[in-house]
Amino acid sequence: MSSPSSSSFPHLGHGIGLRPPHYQALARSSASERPPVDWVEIISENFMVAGGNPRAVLRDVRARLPVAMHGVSLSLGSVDPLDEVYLTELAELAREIEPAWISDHLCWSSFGGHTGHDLWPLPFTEEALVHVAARVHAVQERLGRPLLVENVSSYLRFSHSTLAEWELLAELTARTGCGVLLDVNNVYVSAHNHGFAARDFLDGIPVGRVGQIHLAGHRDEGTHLLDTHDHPVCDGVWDLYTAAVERFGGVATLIERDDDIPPLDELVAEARRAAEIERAVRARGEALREAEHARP
Amino acid sequence: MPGPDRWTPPSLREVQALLYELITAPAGVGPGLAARGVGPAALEALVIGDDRLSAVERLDIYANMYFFRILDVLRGELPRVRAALGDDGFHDLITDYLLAVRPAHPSLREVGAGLPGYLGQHAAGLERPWLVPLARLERAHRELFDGPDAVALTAEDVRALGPDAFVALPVALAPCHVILEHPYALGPVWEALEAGQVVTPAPEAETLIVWRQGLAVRHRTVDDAAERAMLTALARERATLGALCELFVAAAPADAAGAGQDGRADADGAAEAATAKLAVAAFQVLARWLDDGLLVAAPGAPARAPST
Repeated sequence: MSSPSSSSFPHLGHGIGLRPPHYQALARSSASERPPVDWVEIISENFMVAGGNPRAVLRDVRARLPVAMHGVSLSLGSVDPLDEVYLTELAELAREIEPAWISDHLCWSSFGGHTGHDLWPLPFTEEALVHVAARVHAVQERLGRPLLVENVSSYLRFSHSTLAEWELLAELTARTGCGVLLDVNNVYVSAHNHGFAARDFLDGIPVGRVGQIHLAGHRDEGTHLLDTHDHPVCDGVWDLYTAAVERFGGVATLIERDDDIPPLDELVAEARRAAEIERAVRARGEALREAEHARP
Repeated sequence: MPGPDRWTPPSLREVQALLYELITAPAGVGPGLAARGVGPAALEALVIGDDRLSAVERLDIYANMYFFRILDVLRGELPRVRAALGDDGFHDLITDYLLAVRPAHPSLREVGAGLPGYLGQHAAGLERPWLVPLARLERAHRELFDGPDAVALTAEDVRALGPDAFVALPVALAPCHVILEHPYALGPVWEALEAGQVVTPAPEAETLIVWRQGLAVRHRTVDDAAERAMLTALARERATLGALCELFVAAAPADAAGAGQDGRADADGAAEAATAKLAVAAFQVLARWLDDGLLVAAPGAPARAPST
């Protein structure tokens, strides 16, 4: 199910993350049974393995659906050298499954040859921008395709940041040609944690550069919101998603769930809700245009 | 935050060096700062705190996520070791492990790769040495889960061969396997440990073959000395089925086929009968291996007889 998009990345429709509890349902090879979602996203590292069930499932799913590769280990902001072995394995997986695109995060997750298995925030400075841009260039060259770079949820800000996160992201796309994986939940979480207006973030991202949107749930810890991916998408994030669709148009959208993963039907219902929002926004836009044309 | 005349913004490298050190500090960010001989103010110059969360508390969110994400992964990967040590003991083990063997692989799948070896040097492993091979066995299950695929030989494949082709067929162990040898009988207590029962394996030498058949990882003990000889030889290098059978006969205990009874082992008839009985036993082992999906056709040059 595709619809026009202002992005150079294809609008795949509305999908979910491919996670073990749903492997069997999504990998069913019955040709007559239509998959319940338009596309899926994989965590690249979980499939950068020699064989076994993950690769078997991925082969089956890929035969039925478009797949995007979403990584967590490029460590684009790290001062460590890029991990050449990792990049080689990532490129090999991409060659095999021909993903719609490859994405990772605007963050760092390794230092001194060690990894934290987390998405640590960067100071938003010219130094960081130049550093990340050089690495995005290198990765794109290596993979032979533009990368989508995702904004992360964050719990701290640096006193010496000179840019807003969205300004850095926008400039990164301009300097490297990469796209943005706009995580609407992460915008919501970071806006709450740092006291900025979430819509300022959306307004700061150039139209046409958003290739994918993430929607997810978070947990309210009282003092802050924690990006846990263990809850349904909340109303505030749905509202922000509506604003994102109004600004960026129809963009491939994915429901991310990594903990307390519910039955497939519940995630499919969230993906369908995203599709409904997109349809409603488009219908409103068309009605407005028609009204303008009808005006004497 | 001190004024700009008193505080020079750190470089990206300096920021990451400081944050990595504090996030991975074993007791949290506050004690990590104290270990550097500085107070919270040193972090407050860099990280913006507010009335909801101080700079230290904000960085502690990352410190907690670092530790507990990895702890969760390892709890899932080593459920029997965790049950044996209890939650607190396992927590302490992982705290020490992450200091000694800092994660370096981009995938969380590999975060526990060094734990069995580390456990051998840790007080928990020194106190209960059987935990070390138990950790190796649990880790083997994890590694083989998504190890390399292979097309296993089947009994039908072998049955279709004539006698000459059968003995000349070069085979190898399916690549997704590991053979573990240790001085504890883990096999009999595997399920009890999974159920969280307080059991201690008997101090008896054990050989285990762990392998993936299709998509399921399995293991079993290899009690028979002749089968063990075949297995370890084949793990070293490929061999023909005929050579494996010969190896089995050679490695079988003298009394395995009833030879030597009544001191008449040299009688021709008895020796032939004994050899035939051993050959049948060897075929039975191979049949089991085929049923288990343990054998693959070996590619490439003609096979050599395995060394013993």
